[in-house]
Amino acid sequence: MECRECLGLISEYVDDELPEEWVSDLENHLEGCPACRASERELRDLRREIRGAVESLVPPRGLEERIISSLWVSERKVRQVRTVWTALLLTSLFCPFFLLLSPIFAMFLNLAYVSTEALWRTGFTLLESAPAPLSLSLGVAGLLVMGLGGYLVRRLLRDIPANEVFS
Amino acid sequence: MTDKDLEIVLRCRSGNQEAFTDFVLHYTPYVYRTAVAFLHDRVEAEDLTQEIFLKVHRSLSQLHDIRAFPAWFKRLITNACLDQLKKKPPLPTAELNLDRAAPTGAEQWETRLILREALAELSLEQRQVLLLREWQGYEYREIAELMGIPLGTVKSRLFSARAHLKNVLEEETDVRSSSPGHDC
Ligand SMILES: [Zn+2]
Repeated sequence: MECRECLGLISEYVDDELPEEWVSDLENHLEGCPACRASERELRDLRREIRGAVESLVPPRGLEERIISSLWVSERKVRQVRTVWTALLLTSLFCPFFLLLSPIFAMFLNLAYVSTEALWRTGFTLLESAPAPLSLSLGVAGLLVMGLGGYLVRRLLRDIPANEVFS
Repeated sequence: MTDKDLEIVLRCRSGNQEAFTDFVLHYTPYVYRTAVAFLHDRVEAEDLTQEIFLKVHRSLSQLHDIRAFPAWFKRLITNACLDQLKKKPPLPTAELNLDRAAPTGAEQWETRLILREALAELSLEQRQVLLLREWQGYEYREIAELMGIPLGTVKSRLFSARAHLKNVLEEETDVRSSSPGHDC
């Protein structure tokens, strides 16, 4: 191998990319040729120098902090956008469903209204037809029962943690 | 990858905020240096570093094999740099604001400064190939694939980039050895 050929291949040799069959030829030449050997060393030195030059770049002060804070801000934004989209999607999915069932909801509402009205009317008719003292005591007893009911419900809800009530 | 790196990455994958802070602290110098080396613009490099960490944060959970992390991370950084250069090629006059902070060894510092200036003088294509090889340690085949160029082009660009840098360094050594009173 001649120096000319050798110099053309050294770059690949230094990168471990020289085809196997040429390596021994090239190494033989390098052993006997100080000039090419110097060239090889130069290339290896150059690699070290390039790495050193890049290594010597110092990040500006506070870059890490800026990265971290911008990261959390943008993550929060992403999460907010995701929540809004999920809500919109769910709503648009359930809208037709609600529309479809709206007559049934209306029916139930009407049923509740009609039955409550009937109950009230029956109660008042009964109270009116009863003798005055009885009707008065029944009224007072009704109020007491309602108050007690309200109190019990409040107590129940206060004692049991909310997450258990709704789970 | 050391055990410490592995541990940080493992903790990050579980979505731990504190762990990701450690991750950023640990890897910012490497990411930033790589970005500056490729882009030759400190402001853009800073923005890109931020973007890279954002990408990592979003896609780290998709990395199934933790041992693949170094290659995955390096690829992500490389692609981000190459994409940025494609999007916005640096101006030919772009100059690296070299920090002339207190040098550790004056002579070594000067060589590095000169080398960084010489790197900036290379054509964009030459610099990309050279950095992919010398700094990122990619094989010729991988460089060809990353840049979408033939293998022969990788070799020739690398060869001419090295020839240019060698010349610059040689000139620099000549100047230094001929200037008296420089060896302090
Ligand atoms: Zn020779």
